[in-house]
Amino acid sequence: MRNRAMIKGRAIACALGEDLDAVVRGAREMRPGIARLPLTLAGMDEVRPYYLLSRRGPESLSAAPETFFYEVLFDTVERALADASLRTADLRDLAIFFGSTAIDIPVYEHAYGQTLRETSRPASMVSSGYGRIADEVAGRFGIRGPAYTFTTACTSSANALLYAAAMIAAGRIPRALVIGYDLFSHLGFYGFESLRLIATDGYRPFDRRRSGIIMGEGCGAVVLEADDGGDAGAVLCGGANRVDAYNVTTHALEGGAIAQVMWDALEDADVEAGAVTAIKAHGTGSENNDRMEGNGMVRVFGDALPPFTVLKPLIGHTVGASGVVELILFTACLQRGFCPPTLGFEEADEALSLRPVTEPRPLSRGIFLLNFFGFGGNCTALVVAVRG
Amino acid sequence: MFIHAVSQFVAPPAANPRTLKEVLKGYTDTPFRRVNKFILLALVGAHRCVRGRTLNGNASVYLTTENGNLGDTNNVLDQLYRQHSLPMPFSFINTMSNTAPFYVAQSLNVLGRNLSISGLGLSFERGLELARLDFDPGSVEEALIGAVDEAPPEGGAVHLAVEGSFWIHVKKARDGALGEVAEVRSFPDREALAAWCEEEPVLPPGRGLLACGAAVPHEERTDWQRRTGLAVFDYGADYGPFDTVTAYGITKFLETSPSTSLLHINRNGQGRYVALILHRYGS
Repeated sequence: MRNRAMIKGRAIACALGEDLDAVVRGAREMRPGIARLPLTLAGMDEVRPYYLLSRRGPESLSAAPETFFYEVLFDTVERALADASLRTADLRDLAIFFGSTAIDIPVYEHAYGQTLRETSRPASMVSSGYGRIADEVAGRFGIRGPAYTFTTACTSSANALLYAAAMIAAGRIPRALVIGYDLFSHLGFYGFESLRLIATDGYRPFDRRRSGIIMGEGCGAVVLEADDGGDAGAVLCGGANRVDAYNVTTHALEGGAIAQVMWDALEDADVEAGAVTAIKAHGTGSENNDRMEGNGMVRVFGDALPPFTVLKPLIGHTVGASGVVELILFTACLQRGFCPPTLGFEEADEALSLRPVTEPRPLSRGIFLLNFFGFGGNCTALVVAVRG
Repeated sequence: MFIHAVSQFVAPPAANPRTLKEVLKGYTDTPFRRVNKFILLALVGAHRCVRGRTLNGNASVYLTTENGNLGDTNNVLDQLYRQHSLPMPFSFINTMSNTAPFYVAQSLNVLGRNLSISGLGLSFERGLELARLDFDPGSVEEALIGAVDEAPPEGGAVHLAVEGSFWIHVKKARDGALGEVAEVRSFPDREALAAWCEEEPVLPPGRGLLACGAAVPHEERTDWQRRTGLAVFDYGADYGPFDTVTAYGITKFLETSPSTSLLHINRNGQGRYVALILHRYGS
């Protein structure tokens, strides 16, 4: 097994909270907080579920999104840097790897709507540059290392983790700050509604009655460094990325590319499939995603499929942020002695015959496979060792 | 990382994506439906670079962009905020910039890594860095690396005269290569880059060219020229500012220069630098 980079510090903001102990407690007790948001902007008299950040107030979706956007981001990064006990000199060399689906859309779509109220023909509002958010973080914390932004839909921050760990292992950078961040945007919320992908009656990945995804907000930040070879902590051992060219919106149902990226990741980490302790599935809860992921897992593991779980019913699908956010939640739960359950799963789908972990399961160490898939056929798998 | 082919596509902002579809027909018979201008720009550049050759099925695609999709994002906001309707599904999907490298991969049947990468003012350089990271241990042996940006929609705060798509086809194998990406190095500030230049001559004086990115001020360019002793390769005045101008300069060097080397220095607004060294082999 290769040990590429260890998690030196971490911080999270999600629907379960921001204090990591409270977040883990929320996962163990299976009590997510789900809001119901109206679809009024599209003239629809309906509501849809959404996992908003725990710090959201009732007016925060419409008030000063740029201020809120950077408050959440800077606060999460500050907590991660503090958790890593970095000195000022360490910050200078830090490289930033940022992953997001929406990037700065939550900020400029608000400006678009505001301008429209003031003039009948609003000026075009466009991104201020995909790389700007990472540069804002650099400016705020005095970071002078290189900054890389990944926009590969729901695999964005998983790919950021993959490349940060590889760059550390290659000796090109001493340490990395990896951020996954996606906030509520009207574009994303109504866009997923236009695809008829949002579940209206509960989040049930891999369940026979699954009916789609529920989106969530998330910000996660981890500081990675070269592995110190100690007997504690969580270590990124390897991973892989590839494309499934089947279709821009969905992957091939037989799970061929899904299986291949898992094989690639295991090979990259120098880990045999039989050594995997458990899997964190992507598990969006859509009909196709769960079927193709299930088929892919069976291709790789056959009858010896390890226990697997889905975190999204606890915090929502945090899209591009899910790589870092789910890594933090998953490893933090393991380091507190349990594998988090797949909330909402009740009835197995006969077509899949797969049953995820449904109750907190005692587990504190081992080798874990983390799956992430996204639009544009993007497939990423990471291998993580947790040493208790 | 050896360069085997290069392409340039630079044009005034296309008012109608059909114009780009017509250009694309010159390179591939594959029909493309439900694609937008950003995706078409990527396809035109990538197919122009490949020119009908068959790539290894595990080849990777690294698409770099400063702003990603602009036009369809604006369309979706218009559908939401002005028309008060749900977005068109494929307009929404195509707001995600990684749909462009997806279509490049699908149309060329290359199933390796597939990334959309940015770095404010340094996107193309960041893509080259990550590709080299994959090439060095042999994780990737063949790839297309592109820079794609569409001009902002009309009526915006910024007006650009051109938009573009610039690609290089790279392999680990040297046979038949026209050049090489010999170095991609990041620096926290100007002083660190200057120290690197003075440690040993980056390129022997008189044996290469120096180019500077759009954000490097004129007086600073003069200083780099003095420090390196290299003749200047200036591409910035050709079309004025546009988002993929660095990739334009690099591909122009590779397409038009005789056998020589290029040191390319670029910086972003925060004063972080990236230096590239490219070698152009004789034909």
